Amino acid sequence: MTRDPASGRFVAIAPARDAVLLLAGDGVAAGSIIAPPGYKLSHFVEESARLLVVGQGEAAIEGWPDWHFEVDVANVCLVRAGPAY
Amino acid sequence: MSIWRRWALAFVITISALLGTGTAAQAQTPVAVAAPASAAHAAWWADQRWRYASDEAAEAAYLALVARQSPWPEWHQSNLVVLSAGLRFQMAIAPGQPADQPGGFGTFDRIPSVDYVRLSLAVKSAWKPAIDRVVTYEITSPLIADVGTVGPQIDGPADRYLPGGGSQFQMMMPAPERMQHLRVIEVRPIQ
Repeated sequence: MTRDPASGRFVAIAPARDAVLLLAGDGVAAGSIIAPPGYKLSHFVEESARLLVVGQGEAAIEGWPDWHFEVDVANVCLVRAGPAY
Repeated sequence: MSIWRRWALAFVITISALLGTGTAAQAQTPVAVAAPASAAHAAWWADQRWRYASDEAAEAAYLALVARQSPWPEWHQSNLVVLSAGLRFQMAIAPGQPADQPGGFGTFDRIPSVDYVRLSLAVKSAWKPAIDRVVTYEITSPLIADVGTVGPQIDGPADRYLPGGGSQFQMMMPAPERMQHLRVIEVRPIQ
């Protein structure tokens, strides 16, 4: 579990690795952001102004199987940000 | 041979040598077309310029590297091999990254430090902002991989040239299947 600096929400990766869980104050999941098709979520990467999550893909895009996705809580989506090693 | 003819021959040889030296020096002097604009650019230039026939070609290669950030050197040709069961390799992983969720690239080098990951494995900070552990994996069933040498990178935010040169391979199967071919042997911290 970690905090998204942009929204202040606590988030966690779902056990099945297919979604980012949006947690309420009591730690209970109050919503979720589904992983992009073909990706399993691995771990968060915390930056000062944004939160990234690494998605591990079934197929490579531009030669890269793993990508960083920005967690966009306001728009309930994951936005592709750049390759992950 | 008369003394005058010997003097004339020596004069011609000396002039030819001087002209030859001057020509060679001119050929190695970079044209102003691509004066390195940053420390990373200058370092790349010092290390890689020799590969290209002209400053223009070298600059084009530099810009292509920055834009495409291929993990392989420009001269790499896909070399798909089957890595056998029992083979061990290492991988640097990030804080919070479970050892059973490895990335797509491994190395046959021993990883001694984060600096080694940045410089010899040319892992840009954008690709893996933080690194805290090294995992040694063993291949448990044959694994298809593209094998070769780590290519150089430009770490833009850090203005740092990462020369690469280490060994690397890229697993050529869907990410969720990686651990079906691997087992964790050791996890150790690095700085």
